[in-house]
Amino acid sequence: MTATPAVSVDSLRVEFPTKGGSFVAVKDVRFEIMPGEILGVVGESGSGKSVTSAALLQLTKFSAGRVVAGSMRLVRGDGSIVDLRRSDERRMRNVRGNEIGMIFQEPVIALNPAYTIGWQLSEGLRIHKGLSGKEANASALELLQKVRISNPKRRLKQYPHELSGGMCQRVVIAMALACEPRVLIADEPTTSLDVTVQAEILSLIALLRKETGAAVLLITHDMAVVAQMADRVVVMYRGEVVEEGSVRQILHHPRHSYTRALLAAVPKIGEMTGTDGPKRMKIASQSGKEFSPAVASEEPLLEVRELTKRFPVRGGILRRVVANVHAVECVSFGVNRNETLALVGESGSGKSTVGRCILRLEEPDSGELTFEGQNLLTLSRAGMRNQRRHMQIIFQDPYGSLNPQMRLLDQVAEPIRNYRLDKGTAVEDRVASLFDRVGMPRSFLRRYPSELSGGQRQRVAIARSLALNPKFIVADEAVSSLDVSIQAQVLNLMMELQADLGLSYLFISHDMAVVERVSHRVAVMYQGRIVEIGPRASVFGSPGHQYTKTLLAAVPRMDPDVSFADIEVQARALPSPIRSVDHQPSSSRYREILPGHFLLRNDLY
Amino acid sequence: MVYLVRRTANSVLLLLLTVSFVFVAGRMIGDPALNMLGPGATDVALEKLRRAAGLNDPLWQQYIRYVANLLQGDFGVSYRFGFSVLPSEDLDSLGQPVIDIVLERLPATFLLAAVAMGIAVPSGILMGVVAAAKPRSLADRVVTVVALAGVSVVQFWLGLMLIVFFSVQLGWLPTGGYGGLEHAILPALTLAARPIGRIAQIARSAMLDEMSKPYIVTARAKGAHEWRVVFLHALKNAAVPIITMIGDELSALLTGAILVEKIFAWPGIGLLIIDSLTRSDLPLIQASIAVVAALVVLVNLLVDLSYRIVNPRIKLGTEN
Amino acid sequence: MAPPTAMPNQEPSQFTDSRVTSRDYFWAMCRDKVTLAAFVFLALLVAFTVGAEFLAPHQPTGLNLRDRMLPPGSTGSSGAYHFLGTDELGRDLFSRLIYGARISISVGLLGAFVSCVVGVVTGLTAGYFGGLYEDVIMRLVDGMLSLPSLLVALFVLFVLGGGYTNLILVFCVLHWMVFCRLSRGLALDARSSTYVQAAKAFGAPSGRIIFRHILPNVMAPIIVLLTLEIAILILSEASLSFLGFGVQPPDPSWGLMIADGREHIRSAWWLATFPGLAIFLTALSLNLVANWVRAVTDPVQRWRWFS
Repeated sequence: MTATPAVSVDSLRVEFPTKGGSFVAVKDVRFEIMPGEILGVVGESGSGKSVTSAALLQLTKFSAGRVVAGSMRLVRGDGSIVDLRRSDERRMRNVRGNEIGMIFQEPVIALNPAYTIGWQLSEGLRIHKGLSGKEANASALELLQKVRISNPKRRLKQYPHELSGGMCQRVVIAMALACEPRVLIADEPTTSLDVTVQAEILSLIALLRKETGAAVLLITHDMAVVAQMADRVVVMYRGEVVEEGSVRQILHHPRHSYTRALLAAVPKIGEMTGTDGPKRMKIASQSGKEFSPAVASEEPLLEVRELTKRFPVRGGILRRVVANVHAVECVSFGVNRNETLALVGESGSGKSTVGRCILRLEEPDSGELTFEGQNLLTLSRAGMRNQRRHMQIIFQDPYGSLNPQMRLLDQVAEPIRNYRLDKGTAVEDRVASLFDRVGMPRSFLRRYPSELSGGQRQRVAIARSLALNPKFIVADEAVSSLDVSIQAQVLNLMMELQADLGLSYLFISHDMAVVERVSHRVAVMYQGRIVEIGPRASVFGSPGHQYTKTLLAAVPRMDPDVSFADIEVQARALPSPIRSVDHQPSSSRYREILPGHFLLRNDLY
Repeated sequence: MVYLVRRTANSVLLLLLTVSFVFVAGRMIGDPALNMLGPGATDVALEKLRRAAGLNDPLWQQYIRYVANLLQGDFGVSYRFGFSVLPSEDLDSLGQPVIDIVLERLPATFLLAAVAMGIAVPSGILMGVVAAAKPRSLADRVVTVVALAGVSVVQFWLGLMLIVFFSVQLGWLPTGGYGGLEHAILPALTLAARPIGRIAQIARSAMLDEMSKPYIVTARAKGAHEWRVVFLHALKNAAVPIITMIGDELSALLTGAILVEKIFAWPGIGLLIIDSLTRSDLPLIQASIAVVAALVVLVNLLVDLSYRIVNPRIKLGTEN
Repeated sequence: MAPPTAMPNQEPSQFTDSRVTSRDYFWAMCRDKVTLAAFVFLALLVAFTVGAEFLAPHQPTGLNLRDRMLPPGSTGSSGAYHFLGTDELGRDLFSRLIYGARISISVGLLGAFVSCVVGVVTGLTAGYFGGLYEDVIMRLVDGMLSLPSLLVALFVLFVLGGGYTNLILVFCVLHWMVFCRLSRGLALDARSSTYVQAAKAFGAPSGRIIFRHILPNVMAPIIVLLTLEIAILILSEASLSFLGFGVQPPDPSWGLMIADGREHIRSAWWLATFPGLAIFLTALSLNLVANWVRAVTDPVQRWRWFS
């Protein structure tokens, strides 16, 4: 190849000052990006991948980061070179947005809430190209058309909060492209988006790369995204580049042990075809102990019938209920002993509300909940409190679910003390054995949550939910915020616990690949209803509902031969779940297409 | 619209409660007739007055009459009517409807509040923004300490010190009284100290909040100049808490003026309140409290409405 | 395939957020000279207030008509040294300031503390339970907050009569809402937080959730507000006493001392200056301390203080 790279980085080192001296976020990083190429930088949290991209624009200095060594160069189209490390602020301002565009992780908050889309879009043009208001507006409209946003003219006058996440990301992309930069940095551009929207945005980026010939630096934690998007890949771990190569080479012949471990930890959609039950992740378990995942029994444990939950919207002078958000609408399913039922859906589908209603952390409006033959909805407060001993919940956010002001020992002991199951030192012994059970060292008993990593916190949260010996656990996005390697460990832990203790899980998740890996049966939620439910192999193998098909098609595959530019995803904007007060939706009706595999007959889609 | 109606209804209710409270509490301090005529009054005179003023009626009837009169803008007449041992300067207010006396004093207070806020708002915002732009810098530290000093100082004491220095020692400005702009400078400066501090504090912390948000990185990544980032991007988002604080301080100025007006003998509503309190002139007290409370409620209403102008997320008629 | 590598159990995090101990707080404070000075000033103030009998050089009521209005640093006729001079009755100003501190500071402390307890309990419960209870309380709070508080205080004291106890009473009635509004907001945030949801799911009773789980986590902003309110009440006490509606004369409060000094402002500047300065420094120190507490407990900027 004779072309010169658009960006070259060599021996980059970035440090941040902290309590115990300076923290090296990035060390000795080198890579190059050719014009028109997508370079994927993949790594888990703390790998320094985002810091690297921020350093390219000298944005680290605003968060006290210092580039202490190395070189970063931008090569312009005419062959002249900009030294990105030593340029002064004035020069950098001219580079930012003009020669290097940037796309951010959370589009909704990356836009300024106080200004219109049009104003923000044209700002770069006004700064760099000196366009007048009118010209800038015309270009803004053009840009919106370029990113294929619906109704572009109207969008110009709207504010970010009036747009969905996917639309906001299109605006952010349009903004980054405004001055036709030579380089585009995309920092986790789809992490906060639903999978169908992610597919749209990724195919847009792939398309725009072709149209504009920009060099793209794509930063992500998601191996599958890299597989389908990137030409070359850089794998980062703890601030260092551990491996670099073409995407095929990295995927098929990883050399570094970290890359191999990372690849092993990623659940790959489709790899469970031909199996019925869950399968443990192919990573060495902490205890080194092997286990085989549980086989579900036929004995029902929990029965949910026609569960409905609406949230009132109030308004008017007297603050009367003017509308309802139909969060959960006529949902029915059962969970057997020792079984994992996965509840999948995108944000706003109502899946978390179902979980919270079952534990009556949210009061359902109607429906029936039967747990071990006991009707939960007729129970008194005290009766429900007693019942909660047998049903527990693990939350998504391991940072928020532990009380920051209490020792871990006390937090895990709390349920035991609340129900007076044990006294005195017996409590501590029990907590210590729970710590052993979830693979936490006992030395952590007297520590506080802030001293733990995300994976450790989730282990403690699991230990706490096990404290009462429950039979049923709602795992509400329990592994979603964890890095893949940690996620794999926690998934294995959960499967192991199920096999050993005979637990049943309601596994609420948005991640199809994880769901395929861990569940016996799957229910797909959309618009507050279950549109499809059945054995996992059947639902993934022969999906019946259009929505399930769309969802499955949108999941990125670990396959460099399937490019996002080729995938046609027919996602539609979600219709609003807010309905007028007198709206009476029909109850859900199903038909069985395969044994135990039901489809919603109501027309939603 | 719906919001406006509800908001106004709340305000009117609140005002009604306030005047009712003042009415009831006013009756608790003793016989109004005795209060009016003074301890030397004869029983005959007292009884005559009671009958004339309807003070023998049941309390609820009096209350209804009082509120009905209020709604017509009639707050009653000053107690000092027909009473001869009064300071001579106030002779012309004898028997005057109290509402006239109160309204007459308003312009002076408004002038003072306007000059004080005219000083405090721009300087406070500027100080806060500059401090937040470079946290922990020398400028930030200076602003922090100056702002804290403004908040910590006793207003009337500051006024005294200013008088001692600028009027007594240097002789540059008058020690008090009402007149041209030179009379307003010292009291306005005194009044401005606290709002400068509070506005600078809130501007600083609101700006710090905003400056740590992702859209700031977006703006920087667009190549916007740092001042553009600060003044255009962040400041508009930080406006809501700053406006709230300006509103709070404006309300506080309307009442805080009591002390400053007393120190500088500034004939505003504050001085009127303190005079009417020391002379137990109940109708005058009631009227001035009602007027000030109405002003405060009005300021709150205006602040609320202005949120909806600066923040596109807040729309009239929607809540939560 | 080669055996998969065991994953590191400890994920690296960018900023190590290890627990901050009281020793860290102590050193962070010592590094910040201004805050340290404020702490020292407040400590001295408390010492003088508590030990006034032993630490004040003279009797605050010791009349001495021969030594009237001595300027600061004078020696009186009997050889007594008057650090801050004497007043129109020949009483030692410094000693009067010390005794005055008792009143000013105890009014501020008691008023703020009682308001805090009332406000926090009502606010936390309102925010946590919600419903009609919350509606009623918040209506009351909003209404009372929109009233001009100095004016209401003046009027109520006019009706009830001034004095030490009434002053504290009025302060409590007029300031609990500030704490209520703050803690209700904090409880509202906490109620939807996952750790509270978790506590609920683990069978913790409401009282335990409010006072064992929520309260410790929202302590920092409440302490900040408490400190600020003490300063505000000390200032209000001075204002009300100055106008004659607060503490009544034989008690030497700082506000009254300024009022007395005002009459002699042209001939004896120190009489009004020093009490005002005392209030100013006390309020400033409280504000500095509050500022510092806010900074070191703020998760966003705390790392700067311990780095």
